[in-house]
Amino acid sequence: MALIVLAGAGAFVLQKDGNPYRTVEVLKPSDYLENANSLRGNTYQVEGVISSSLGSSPEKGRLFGLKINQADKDWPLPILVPRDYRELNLQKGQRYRLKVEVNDDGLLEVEEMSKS
Amino acid sequence: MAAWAQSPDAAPPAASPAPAAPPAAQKGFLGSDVPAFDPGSEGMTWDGKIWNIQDQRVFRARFEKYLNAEEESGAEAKKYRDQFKEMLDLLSPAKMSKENFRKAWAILPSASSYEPDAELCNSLDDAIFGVLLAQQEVTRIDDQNRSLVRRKDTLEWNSRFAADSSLLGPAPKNPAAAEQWNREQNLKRDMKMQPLLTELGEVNASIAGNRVKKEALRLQAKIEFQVLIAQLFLQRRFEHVLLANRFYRALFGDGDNQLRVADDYAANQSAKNKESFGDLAKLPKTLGQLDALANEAIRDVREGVESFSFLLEKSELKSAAERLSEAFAVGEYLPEIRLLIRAKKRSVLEFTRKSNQLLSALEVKDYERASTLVKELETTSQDFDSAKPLAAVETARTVSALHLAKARAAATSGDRATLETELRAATEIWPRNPALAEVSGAIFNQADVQQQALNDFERLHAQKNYRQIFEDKVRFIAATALHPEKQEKLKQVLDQVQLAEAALLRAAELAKRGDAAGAWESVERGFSGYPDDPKLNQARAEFTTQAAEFVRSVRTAQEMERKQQLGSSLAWYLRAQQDYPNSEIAQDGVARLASLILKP
Repeated sequence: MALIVLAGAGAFVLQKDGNPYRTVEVLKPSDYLENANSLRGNTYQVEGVISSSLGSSPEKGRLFGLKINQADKDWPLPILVPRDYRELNLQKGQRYRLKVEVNDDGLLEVEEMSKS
Repeated sequence: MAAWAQSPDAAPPAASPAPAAPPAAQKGFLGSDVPAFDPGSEGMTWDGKIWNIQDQRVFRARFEKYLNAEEESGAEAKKYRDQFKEMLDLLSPAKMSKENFRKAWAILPSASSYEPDAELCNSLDDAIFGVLLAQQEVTRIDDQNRSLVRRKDTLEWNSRFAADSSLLGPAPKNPAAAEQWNREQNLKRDMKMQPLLTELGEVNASIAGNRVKKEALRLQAKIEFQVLIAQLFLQRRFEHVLLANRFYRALFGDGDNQLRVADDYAANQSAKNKESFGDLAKLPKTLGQLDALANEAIRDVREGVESFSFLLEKSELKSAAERLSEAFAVGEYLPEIRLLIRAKKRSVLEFTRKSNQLLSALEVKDYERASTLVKELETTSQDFDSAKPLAAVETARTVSALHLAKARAAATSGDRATLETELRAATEIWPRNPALAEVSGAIFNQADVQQQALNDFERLHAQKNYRQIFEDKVRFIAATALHPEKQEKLKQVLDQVQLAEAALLRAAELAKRGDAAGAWESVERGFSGYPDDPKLNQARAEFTTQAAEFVRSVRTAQEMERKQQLGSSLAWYLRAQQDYPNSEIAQDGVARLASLILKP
């Protein structure tokens, strides 16, 4: 009985601290900077801090700068948060884990996101 | 023949119009017959004509030639003078005789061989021969008349005898027979007398005809001789006039001295002849008058030469030259003039030459030269009056300067029409004004400089060498002042360069503070407006090295933007902004791309 409880607690802890997009490939910022267009249609997971708000559009959504730290370097990348997430209060300095798709414009368009 | 002497009414040069007739010359007791000189106007009046001695170019040249000529004191000249004196002496009233006349006449051909005599003695010789031939004819007519008179006497006696003899013999007593006898006797008388009376009439007619012919011959001879004397007078050969007069008196000893040239010969004088020898109708009325006038002219010339010598001693060259020129004008061929030694003449030659040059300079309005000559003449001669020429020079200078000032002003304001008018006016007043050449040169140079500047501007603009245009901006601003389209072009260039300069200044300031990225960005922003500027290029290269990462981000962002890789480009701009948060290029790039991305 005690084992079952421990196993359940362990599973809970793991589930709570785990990456929901762990099956999604992590985006390499250098690749994106190199040639974003070549990545179009791909889905990636990224994690970073919102560093700036770049603009918004009722039709297309909001554009943010997301600073990703990878290999001890900060890579600011633009992400487009579609209008579906318009009710989500995104603020500078907040850390998010995102599932993004490189859209036709070569932009990282948010498909899913969660605070991390 | 002296061309000038024979045409005293030649028009004076246009530049020096004939002065008004000197009143003294008109009202003198000798009227206008004696050449009269008016010192006020330097006008010589002769035979009703006026000319300015000094202004006559021909006279000036002739006078200068005379001043340079050697005096006629050679053996031939002396012989000629002696012969002249001898002839005059032989023909003088006190010594006049047929023998002396023949001696004097015999000298004429010899005197004529002297070149300066111009064979006038030969002409006189011929005239005398002509008179003698006429006189010979008159003598023949006289002889003929004497024969005719003798024949007339015979015929008259024969007629009278024939008339008386017809009444000889007793008449019949019968009245009827007596009447018949008388008729027969009268008829016989008439028959005898008729041829005698006819011949007597013919003889009387011949005598009367010969008398008329004789008078006509005498008159013709007189007139021909008088014409020669008149011509010698008009030629100013006064010594020949005196000699010819004495020959005339010897040839025509009837005491008739009336000069018939004016009345008879002059009436038929042709216009051409009048032009060449003067109007004979205006000559004096007697030979005595002509003789007196010739003597007066000779005396006048002698006094003129004496006056010249005196003034020369006093170094009053102007007056000396004037007295000599007057004496020369009247008595060019007289011994007083011909024997004047060259050394004396040459002392006024330089003055005369310069005076003539001064007149020429004033005539052609070369006032600079005239001014120099006036100064030289003032130094040379104590009595030279510089007031008149200097007044002319100063007036021309002042008026010309006024026109030039107006021309300058017109050139400055670009008023080409006024510029040309004023330059032309200044040129007309003083064609050789040095200031004229200077001003017009400057004006035209200015025009050249302006055109050159415009050419340079166009060339530099085509080469995009805006920096050089900027360096020389003052020149180009002035040159394009009258060309609005070029002015606008220049303004754009200067604005660009000024922006580049401002960018460089700012970059230098930022670099001093260690902000290499800021410095590069400043240069880069200036560079985009003026990519060919060498200074910007140099600074750009320098700061690119110092802010390599930032520069790489910006350039990559720009490159991606150009390739329409909006995501990558925006990422690079964000990275550049991260490297240099104050980057305006990055900020602008981000804003630009964001706007593009969010555009519906």
